[in-house]
Amino acid sequence: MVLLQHAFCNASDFLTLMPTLKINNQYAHTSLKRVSGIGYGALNYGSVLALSGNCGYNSYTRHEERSSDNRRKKWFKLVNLDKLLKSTDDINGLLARYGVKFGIYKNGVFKEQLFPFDPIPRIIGKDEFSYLERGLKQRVTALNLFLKDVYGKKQIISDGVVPADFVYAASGYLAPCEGIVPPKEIFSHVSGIDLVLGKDGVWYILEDNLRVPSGASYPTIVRGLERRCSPRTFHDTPIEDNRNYPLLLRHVMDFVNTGGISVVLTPGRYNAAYFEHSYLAEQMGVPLVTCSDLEVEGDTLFFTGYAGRKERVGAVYRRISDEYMDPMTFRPESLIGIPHIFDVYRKGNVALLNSPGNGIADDKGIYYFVPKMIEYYLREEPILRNAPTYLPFYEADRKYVMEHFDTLVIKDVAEAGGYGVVFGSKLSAGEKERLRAMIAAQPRRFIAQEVIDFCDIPILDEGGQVERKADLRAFVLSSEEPVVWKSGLTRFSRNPDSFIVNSSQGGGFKDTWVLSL
Amino acid sequence: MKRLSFHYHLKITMDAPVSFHHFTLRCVPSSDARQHITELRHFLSPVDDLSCGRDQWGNALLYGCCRGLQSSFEANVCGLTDVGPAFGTPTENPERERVFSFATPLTKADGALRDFAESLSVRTGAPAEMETVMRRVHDALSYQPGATTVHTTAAEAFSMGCGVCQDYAHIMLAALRVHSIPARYAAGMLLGEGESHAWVEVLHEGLWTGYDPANCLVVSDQHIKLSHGRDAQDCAINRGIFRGGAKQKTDISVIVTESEERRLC
Repeated sequence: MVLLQHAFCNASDFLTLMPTLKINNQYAHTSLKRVSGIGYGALNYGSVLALSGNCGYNSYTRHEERSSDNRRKKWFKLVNLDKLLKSTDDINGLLARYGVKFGIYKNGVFKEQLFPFDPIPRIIGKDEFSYLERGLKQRVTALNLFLKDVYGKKQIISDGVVPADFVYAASGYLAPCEGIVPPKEIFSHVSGIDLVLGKDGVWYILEDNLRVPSGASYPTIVRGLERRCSPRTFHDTPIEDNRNYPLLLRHVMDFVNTGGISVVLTPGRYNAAYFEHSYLAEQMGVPLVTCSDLEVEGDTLFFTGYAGRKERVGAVYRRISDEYMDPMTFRPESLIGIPHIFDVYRKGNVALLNSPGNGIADDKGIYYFVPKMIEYYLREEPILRNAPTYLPFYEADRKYVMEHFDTLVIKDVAEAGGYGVVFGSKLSAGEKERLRAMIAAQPRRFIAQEVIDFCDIPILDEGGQVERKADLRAFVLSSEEPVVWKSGLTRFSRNPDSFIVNSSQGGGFKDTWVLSL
Repeated sequence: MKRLSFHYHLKITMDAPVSFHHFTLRCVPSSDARQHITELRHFLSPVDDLSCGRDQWGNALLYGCCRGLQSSFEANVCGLTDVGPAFGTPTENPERERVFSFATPLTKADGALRDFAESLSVRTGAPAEMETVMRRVHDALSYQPGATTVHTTAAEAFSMGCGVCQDYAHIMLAALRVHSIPARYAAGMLLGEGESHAWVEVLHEGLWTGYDPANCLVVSDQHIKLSHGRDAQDCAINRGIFRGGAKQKTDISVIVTESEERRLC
């Protein structure tokens, strides 16, 4: 046992100290050997830890090199994952019992499946996270200003920063939202920003999700289970508690509430993220309602509880998409909507989280312009980088795309959820020609990006450990100020060849630990 | 300039009782530079809640709900308006109107319609140009009620070569939008007796001017506008939803007469 502890010591000291990546690798190897040398079932987990550190910390190291206080916090307490790794099945069993599921539509058939949890956390150091935090706040601030502008004065269009085509011809532009200023001028209350860590140690923004981003409940509930399985780990390691997510969200709701109660609106128990709806409502202490529980009377929205008591509603965290929300304004065939809720919202008598119409800001075509928005509205340099993106809409970019077809990933801006994404290199000659012709005919419809070689992170796979692609969805909650939740949803792909980690395409999740020291 | 008295009447008859009938009506004209509403009255029945509002384009809305059982719904809007002191209505921010130069699903041009649009000489949206476009659209279609529905697109109506005022307007919009000219759909009433009417407004030098391709008429003092938008969908005069399995029948009658007296319907 002493030997084991020692091995752990070495591994993690390293992970935090490491002057350079090279040394880190060497040491990780050493510790690996030692641990595996013992050859004793449970101890094998030690090797998992060492390797997990190896990749997970890369960027941290990079960042540490930049930061001056890196040597001060050299000795971390050990991150002891031993118990946690052994409890994987228990945790997944509990998650299944709690109904932590994810629904996917495949070929038109709805299939509910467990959202598998992987116990090796993604660990992000304090400095690195505060760098991400600054970048995310900046980005979300600019996106909110863009939404206010684009449905209001449209200065960014008049000034030629964003072409009108990318606004008015985009599927995310909702004309009924023209001229509406939501309560407290907040459009994106909950923003889910997807990032990946490149092998070059740089974080890239993959996409912004400003409509109803889901996923925060998974790391929140799993943290509680992790702490029960391995309390010592959380005692010994300075990890930011992420179980405050419901409180942060509740604060946002209270902040924008126009008078009355707050509710979580779910389309119902067959929705892909129903677990999350019910969990967040319960944790926030607000009613979980379906559309038939809400009714508009005159210019006010009311909730009638099962006991028949009628209460005014001032804020709705709605987990239902814009087009189904109100059959009187949007899709007339929607039976799950609340007639006239949009009229009440337009009059400022209820807050909707997130505001309708946000789809224009997280459109794949608009993504290209986000760094420009940051410069335009905030007069600041963007802190976080976009993946290198080309718009065939611009002639120079179109030329580049046609010439570098094989090294690019082409995205259809009309599609979401990992669909409509193709790698130029994986197409047959015929498919390539067809896509080229489509791009030439409808340049506005596509964007092209360099393939980011992103960092693999380790996951447990049938007792062993393998490296897989993963991304990170960071959550930013906007009230008086944007606040970045000190955690995030790390999703990984089970398929070793897949770069697409969207939950809609299968895959699992990890907890994200943000260190507080 | 004319003083017009108008009466808009809508009646929906259901063949079985329904409840929780929610409705949104865009059948109330608003004053602008071209039309000045001097008297306005509306009467809706049966109704439990009734609210007034404006949509994103500034059109007046009457919306509400009738919760109890009903098998018919009636709306009457009547009033007096002075029409035609000006031909056009000015816009404060022409930049903001660019949304109207983009096609919508109903006004998207296909190959044939695009060819037609390109055969027109359209540069600025100036009145002389637009009168030609209006005439060309008018000549391209034959007026034929019942041939098309409210869901017929500009491209479909153009290939059929016939339609009603909505189709004439959609085709003209589609053609102008091929040339990126800001143009919007206008719904309203026309002097005389009949159903509701539709035409097109084109932005030129900060001024919206109306063209009525179905009648090949520049809009001056015979049209009362109820609403405008990107296409007919934005200007739906009546939109509703109810609980119950009834078939419904909608009757609309519009009477617009020249009036010398200040007498309401």
